[in-house]
Amino acid sequence: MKYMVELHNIKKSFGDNHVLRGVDLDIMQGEVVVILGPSGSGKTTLLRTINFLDPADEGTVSVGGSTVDSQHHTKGQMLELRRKTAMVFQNYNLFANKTILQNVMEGLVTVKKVPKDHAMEISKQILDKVGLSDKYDFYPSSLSGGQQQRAGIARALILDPDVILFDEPTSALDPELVGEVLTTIKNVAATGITMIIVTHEIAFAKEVASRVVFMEGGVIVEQGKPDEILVHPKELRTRQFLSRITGEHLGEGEEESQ
Amino acid sequence: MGITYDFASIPGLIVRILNALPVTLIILFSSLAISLGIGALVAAGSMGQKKGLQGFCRGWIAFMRGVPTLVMIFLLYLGLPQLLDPIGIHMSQWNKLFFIITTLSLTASANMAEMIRTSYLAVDKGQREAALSVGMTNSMAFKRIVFPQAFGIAIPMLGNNMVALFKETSLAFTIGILDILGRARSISSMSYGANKLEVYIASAIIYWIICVLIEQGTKALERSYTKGRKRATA
Repeated sequence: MKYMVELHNIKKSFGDNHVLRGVDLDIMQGEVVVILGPSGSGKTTLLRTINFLDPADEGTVSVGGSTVDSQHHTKGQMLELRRKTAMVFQNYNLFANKTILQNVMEGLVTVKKVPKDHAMEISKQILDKVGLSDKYDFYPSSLSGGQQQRAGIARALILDPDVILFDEPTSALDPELVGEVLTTIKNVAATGITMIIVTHEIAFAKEVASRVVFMEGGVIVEQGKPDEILVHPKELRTRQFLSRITGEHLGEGEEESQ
Repeated sequence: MGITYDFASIPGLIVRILNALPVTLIILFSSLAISLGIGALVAAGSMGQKKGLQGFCRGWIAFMRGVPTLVMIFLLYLGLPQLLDPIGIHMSQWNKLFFIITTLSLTASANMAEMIRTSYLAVDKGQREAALSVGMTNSMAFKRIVFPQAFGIAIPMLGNNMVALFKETSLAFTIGILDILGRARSISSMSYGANKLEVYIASAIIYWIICVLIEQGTKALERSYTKGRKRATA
């Protein structure tokens, strides 16, 4: 079977800090890959090398059959990759100068040159699907974090990308808003679109992932089915991380109750 | 003291002085447009990758801010012709407006460059990343997402810069241009200085009212431009 996303030997440094030390990852169409790992493990950077927001120093990225060398590439190739991917950001990054409907339409109209009427029609349909049918003409600043992130997901979905990259989509949200966003992501996953999700939500990973990848120190330590990695991890580092994360969750809970 | 003041003459004086308003406005809007153009180039250069250009642009800003406008006027109007005369460029016949507009454009370009630079940097970098992530080119992202937000951020600063520039147009009288202040001086000297106080009160009122108009104008622009959303900063 053909891979939708292929990453080969991805390396990336910021100065002396070697964030990615050679990552290989092949993802099949329809897979939902959740990347876990401690902060600084390189998981967000890996995501950003896929759409060249932070081009890797070395290695090749393939998405939907287009292969691009991180070191030697043209602007056109980079654009091609970006147009086969879409991203959902930790801080939503909705266009502040545009309404929710315009945010979703923007890529269709500006990039894909879809006629405005048609773009508006399908944008509304997508917004309805993520539960924002009453927010078309609102600006992002007047929406809650959860609503903004659902709009961010709609903005990514409408491009019909080969893969959607989720960069810690719930990390900036108030706890009570996490649920609505995770539900939306689960619904998206159910449509069969290929997704790569960087997150700290272990329970969510267990539920939605077809594969869990554990990263630390800029390499993939271990990967497999959610149960294998989350319930019966082979590697010590994975076990340590999981116990730490569970501990952290308890810690957060205590802080909140104070 | 035998001097009597005739404050009732002030409205009439205002009308007479306002004859020169077009001259002042030509100076204002020409130097505003040119300084914005130069400022945009200098701002782009100072944020660019090329080290040499970056240094030049930062030096430009420091120099243009550090030299008093009046000194710059004399440098261009009196000094430059001396330099260029031997090589066959005779500036003495040139329109005086050229010198004042050039001077104000140069000195104001520093503030404009800083305004453009800070407004551009104030746009959250996630905005540009999001634009690129949906497949926009750099220029699309700039035109559709970054510039509109930077412009909204710049409006109040633009208003301040415009007020400052407007007040500096009054320096045009020093090289004999009949702008608002030049016209006021000539009216005053026609009556041998007898109505100095009234003439300058009239001029002050004109400058003040126009400044208020500029301020109110920019506020209205800001309100309508950012209607429905908060300031574009994250």
